[in-house]
Amino acid sequence: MDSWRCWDGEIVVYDHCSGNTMKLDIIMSEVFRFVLRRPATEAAIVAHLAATLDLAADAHFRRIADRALLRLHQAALIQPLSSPGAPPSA
Amino acid sequence: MKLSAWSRAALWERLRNPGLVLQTGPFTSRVRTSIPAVADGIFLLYADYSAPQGDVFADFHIALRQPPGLRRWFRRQVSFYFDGAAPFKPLPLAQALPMLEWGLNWCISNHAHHYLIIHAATVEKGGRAILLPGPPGSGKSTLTAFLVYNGWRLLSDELALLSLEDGSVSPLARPISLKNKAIDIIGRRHPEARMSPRCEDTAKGTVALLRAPRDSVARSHEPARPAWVVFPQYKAGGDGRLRPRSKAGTLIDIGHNAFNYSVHGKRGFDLLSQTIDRCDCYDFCYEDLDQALAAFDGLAPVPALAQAASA
Repeated sequence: MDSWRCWDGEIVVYDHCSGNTMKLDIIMSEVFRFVLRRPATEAAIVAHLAATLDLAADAHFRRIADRALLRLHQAALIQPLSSPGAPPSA
Repeated sequence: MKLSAWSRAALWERLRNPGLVLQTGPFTSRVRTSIPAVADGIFLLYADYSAPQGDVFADFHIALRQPPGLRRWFRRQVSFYFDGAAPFKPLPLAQALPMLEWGLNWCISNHAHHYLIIHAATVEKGGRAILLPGPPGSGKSTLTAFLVYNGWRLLSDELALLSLEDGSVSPLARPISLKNKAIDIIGRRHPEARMSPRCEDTAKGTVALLRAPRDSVARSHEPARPAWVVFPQYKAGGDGRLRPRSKAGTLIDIGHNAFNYSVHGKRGFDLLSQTIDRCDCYDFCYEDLDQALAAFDGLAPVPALAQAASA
């Protein structure tokens, strides 16, 4: 289980497996905290982000959200659940 | 017994054999050398430090010696030895005294893993410490030198020692390494301060070592609580204002400035997190030392009672 701390909406995570310490930007931090509460679909994550940041969930915004999900996945902080179509979890 | 009670001759004799034991903060070092400039430098810079006698345990056994052969006489060199082995390449003999300081820093940062060690200067007032991390050239040693000769206590010029037990900063008050223009700046502002001779052409330019204030050395047993993290940057046009910075970013930056963060793993992460929790974090860009002193004094104003008592 990773350790993490949050200050002013920015999260720093310590990865127990790799020993790496990472700072998540505001969007990645919000995604991380949302998925920590419960697994969520990509659509639900984008909707939550848009509502939280008070932005339109247009194509540009969805690309930003996709990039955040990819970076979190690459950092092994979130992963898709095993069954197809299942939402990612932290 | 303080080193100031020794004669120069006795110090010289002890340094040659069996070695002089010096207490600097929490560390005891046994130093051996036959190089006169090193003996002179220790006599000047470490006069206020305790030099235990007798059969004393030492954390580090170090020696500075000229290599055998041609280099003893031609383009003379000095080597630093730790426990009999030389971890670095030799340097020109003229750099022997700074090499002692750099070597001691190396010993601590590579072995004292009962601390989380951050590359930072640290000063204290009223029991609260400012951590001043930053890369070489940021002006932190110059700033530190000025602060400690103007009301702040020196905890360290180079290595901030964070206790793994309670997060306090342990003092390691040793000579402050000044470089290039800073030597003249501090020398003009504080002519009473004792400095070693200049050493030219080092990897850091011209270096001189400033003796730590006596009070800072005398209080080497008093830890302090970190209360601020300030990243200084000396820059023409700097406005001398403390600008709040991201705590998350500060943790990452301090981690990058820590010598042994990876050694401690999660414990290091937890300690840094707790430290950041307790501290206000700032960037500080300045061009004037008086401006800097005013800004830092504003962080830790003297309480009214103390002001009345000193009036």
